[in-house]
Amino acid sequence: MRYSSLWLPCLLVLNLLLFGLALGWGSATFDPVSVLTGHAPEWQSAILYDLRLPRAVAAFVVGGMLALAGVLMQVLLRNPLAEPYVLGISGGAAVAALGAITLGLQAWWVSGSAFLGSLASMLLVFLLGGGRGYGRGDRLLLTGVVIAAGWGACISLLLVLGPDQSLRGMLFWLMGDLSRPVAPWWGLPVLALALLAAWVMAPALDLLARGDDQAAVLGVEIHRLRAVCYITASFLTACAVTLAGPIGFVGLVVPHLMRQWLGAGHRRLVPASLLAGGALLMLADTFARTLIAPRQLPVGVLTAAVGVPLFLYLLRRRGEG
Amino acid sequence: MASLQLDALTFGRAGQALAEPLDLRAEAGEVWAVLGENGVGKSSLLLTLAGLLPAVAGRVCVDGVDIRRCPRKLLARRIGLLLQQAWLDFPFTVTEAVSAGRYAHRQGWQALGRSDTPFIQSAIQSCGLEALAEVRVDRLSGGEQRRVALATLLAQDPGVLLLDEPANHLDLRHQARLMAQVQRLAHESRRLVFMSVHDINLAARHADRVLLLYPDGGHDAGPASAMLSEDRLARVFNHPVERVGEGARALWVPRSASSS
Repeated sequence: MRYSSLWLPCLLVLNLLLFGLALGWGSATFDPVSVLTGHAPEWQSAILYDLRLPRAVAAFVVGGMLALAGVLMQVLLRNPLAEPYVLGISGGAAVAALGAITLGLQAWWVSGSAFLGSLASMLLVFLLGGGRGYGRGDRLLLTGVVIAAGWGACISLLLVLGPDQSLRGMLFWLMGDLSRPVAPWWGLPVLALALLAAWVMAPALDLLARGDDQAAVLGVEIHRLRAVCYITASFLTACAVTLAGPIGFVGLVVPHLMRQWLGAGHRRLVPASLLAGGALLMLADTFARTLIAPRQLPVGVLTAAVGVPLFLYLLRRRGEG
Repeated sequence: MASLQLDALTFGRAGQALAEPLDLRAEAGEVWAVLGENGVGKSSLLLTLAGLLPAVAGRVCVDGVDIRRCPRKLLARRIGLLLQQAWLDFPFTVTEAVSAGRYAHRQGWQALGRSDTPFIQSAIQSCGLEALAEVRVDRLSGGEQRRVALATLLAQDPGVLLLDEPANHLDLRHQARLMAQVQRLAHESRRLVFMSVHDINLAARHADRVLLLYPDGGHDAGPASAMLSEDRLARVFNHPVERVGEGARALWVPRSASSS
């Protein structure tokens, strides 16, 4: 056996440890348990409840969303390069968010427009690239990639035309970081619902991995499955981008890592990727705010720093195996 | 009992008919072979029968039920298809891949039930995959992947089995094994096997009935002994063929181009 049934406890313990680390470690290091039980000074509980707790939850939620969306996208497009942003959802969000920053709107409006922008992009790609008939994975992928390129051009245009004083804010938004969310709690039920949907779909996703025709003759209502899969993945991506901007590599690397470890069966892959994605982003964000404290690194830089070598290593190992 | 009925079926791609309307009835216990040149529409016919390609006109009934009215899950219990190309590059193990055949039979939330295990085990055995059961599918060769696809179809256990060029990529040994399996499925388990082949000898040796698709869009169907004649086959392949040898050892060979 390549895997043991211990993967779930392993990942849960890992998440708990990293959650504790994210709460306790920083420019001021203290024991989070003593704060939670009320045996710590006032300033410690202020840091924990107002700063670190929302941030750790946001990191877990966003990481989990991106990894889960990555699993769904990779099986939907049957392409190992697929990741949550490949179909232009983050592009739509970015254009809307940068537009809101250009207009000088408040942070709440920036997040709101990012969400609306990603939903618009999701709808556009689905209407243009969806369509009925079998073997349409390629068309969806190409439509999404072209629309993403279009959004890229709009982003450049906004950066050039935008007023100088908002340029820095725009760049920070585009890099993605976790210092913004003050109330990421709504992400938890969204993530739980998506996990439930993906878990229910999992046996059908195993079949979808073999191609549309093969899945259909084995008894899958392929159009419905593709639609639900696309909507779930896109909605997760939209929520993640709204919370933290586009953070790269989590959605690409984590599903591959988990597939190497646990195999391709989605009943294991879906929850494992969610937990591993959450763990990776909590770890990356803890480093992002401590490495050069009191200054902060954008967490996207750190996920890339971990993600690029890890991915290259996996690719080489797969070539040899 | 499994049956397949085509009523004035016109099949084709993108609304373009590939052949004249086809009426045909096939029953459980029969092995059918579809013979035709490349591009004449053997695969399109099978895809249409499986409901993957919409019929241009006419209809297909499996066990008396119009396949367009049948949800995919119920259809998958009645009819299964071995696709010509089934490449799987996700790292499933062979057992996991074959288990996918039980999807149409599953009930509730559980991916697999206890009752599925014997189907999966016997499918793996009859395709000679026991030694590879825990190997990852993306590490297998083309012929081995083909046997995995076949085992998946056997685990699915439908009444009608459509096989698109089943002998392609198979070694001699596995080809002989497959054809014996086909005979058993039809004559002992009372399934209906409907396969496209491009080798006349495979059809001659293993099929009870033959459907000939001519390049001009015409077709003929009937008992193998009546369909496999020199003039009909010459029309199918647009090239003269002859029968050499006697009885069960007879072989169909193309005449050399110079002598025709």
